[in-house]
Amino acid sequence: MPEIAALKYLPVLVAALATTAKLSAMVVACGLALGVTLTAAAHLGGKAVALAIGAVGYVVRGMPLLVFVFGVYFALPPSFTFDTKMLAAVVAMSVYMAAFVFEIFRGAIAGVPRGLTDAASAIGMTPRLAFRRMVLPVALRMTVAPIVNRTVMSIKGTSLASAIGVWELSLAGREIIQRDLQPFQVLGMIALFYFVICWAVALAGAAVERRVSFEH
Amino acid sequence: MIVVEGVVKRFGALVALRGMTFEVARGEVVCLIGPSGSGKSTMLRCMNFLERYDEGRVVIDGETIGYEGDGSERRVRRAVDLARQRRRVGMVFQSYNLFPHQTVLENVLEGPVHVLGRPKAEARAEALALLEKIGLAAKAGERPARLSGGQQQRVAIARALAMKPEVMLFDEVTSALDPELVGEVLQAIRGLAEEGMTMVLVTHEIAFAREVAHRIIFMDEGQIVEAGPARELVMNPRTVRLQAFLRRFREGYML
Ligand SMILES: Nc1ncnc2c1ncn2[C@@H]1O[C@H](COP(=O)(O)OP(=O)(O)OP(=O)(O)O)[C@@H](O)[C@H]1O
Ligand SMILES: [Mg+2]
Repeated sequence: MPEIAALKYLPVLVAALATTAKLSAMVVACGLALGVTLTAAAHLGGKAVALAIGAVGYVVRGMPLLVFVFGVYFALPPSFTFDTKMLAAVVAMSVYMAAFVFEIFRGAIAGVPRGLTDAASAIGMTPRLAFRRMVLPVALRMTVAPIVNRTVMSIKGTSLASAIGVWELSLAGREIIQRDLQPFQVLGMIALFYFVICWAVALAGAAVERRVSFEH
Repeated sequence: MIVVEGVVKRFGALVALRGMTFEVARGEVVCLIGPSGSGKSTMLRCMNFLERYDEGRVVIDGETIGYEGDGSERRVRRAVDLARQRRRVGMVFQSYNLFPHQTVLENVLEGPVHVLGRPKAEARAEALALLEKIGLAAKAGERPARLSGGQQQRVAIARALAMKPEVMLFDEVTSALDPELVGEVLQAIRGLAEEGMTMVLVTHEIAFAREVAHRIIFMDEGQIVEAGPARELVMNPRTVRLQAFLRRFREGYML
């Protein structure tokens, strides 16, 4: 069996993987929370608020993530007490994800068929009750697949944190490749790490989707 | 019991209802027939204010549906008030519109428990009895997506009946069904008629209307063209428009 020379870098890569995992977890958690908050704000805050959130979201979604990460990084004041790079990455990527999450929720809510709200009204539900008991539960089920999709993209997107110097999987890999002549083995290991994480997320998502299916 | 008086409904420049006036007595079954686009659904939806009519009024048991005040003072009722009024009026739609995330039993329980706030155990017993009556007790735990169209439509009827409405509105409830499933739904409606439920049905089933309805109202272009006792109206149509409508109908059946 041929020796995989790059295996000696495994400890370093695993250490970097820990950062990637931490960054991913924070981005996905904050992105989801912020996205849900924005959806609620747009819904409860009246037309002007909804319009403002929609407009900002549109602009953010239209930006390449890399540009957005740089923008937030340079906008933050330099600090010696905490890790500005990590903070910038978390903030930028969370907001970026939230913009998509908001759009997914907004679209799902708008996509709930008129017949459903008609039926809810017809049995004497107020619009508020109908929203809580019918529109939201039905819309949420529609969001599982796109949210999982977005989560996977956010996790892969954390590799762009390397551009502002966050020492995570991609940056660690690049450092090794610059010293070593085994780029494909190292890249292969990194790709495998990302793949396994994203695959696990996709599997979990599929399980959730099955559970909430209308036929289940 | 129901008084519809000069109801006008506009969609922008289009006038869907041009002054509809008719009455429905308690226990009476009235069918609305007419060509596509004549405003039948719109009329029905105005009767529980799913559609906001512009002029005239719909009065059920002395209460104007959707509006309070009179004349220039007239304004749309508050959401809770509209919801309260709709509890007395059951409605069944062409496309069933069951709550897809709930089981059959939950669909039927939704109104009594979450709208009327009745104790769950009590409502549950009644809901199961309703499902029994329409022959779907065995499906209580299923999701609507797993039911046939005819079964879904019967659940929709049970869901409306669970609110113990005083009036039932049916909008072409068999039009989306395969021919062999139409019978079971019509049978359920026939049963309600025999129990003396006040009903307004929009239907294309002329034979059924003739048999079950007390009166038929034929409308075209947002107006009543001819109205009368069901049998008489179908056997001896007086207006040219109804004659033509019925003729087209019979020809359609023969094809
Ligand atoms: N929400 C709406 N917005 C605009 N126009 C509408 C709306 N609903 C109905 N209309 C129009 O009002 C008219 C009457 O429609 P309605 O659905 O009441 O007819 P109908 O008699 O029920 O027809 P069908 O037999 O095809 O169901 C039609 O011209 C229709 O296009
Ligand atoms: Mg119609």
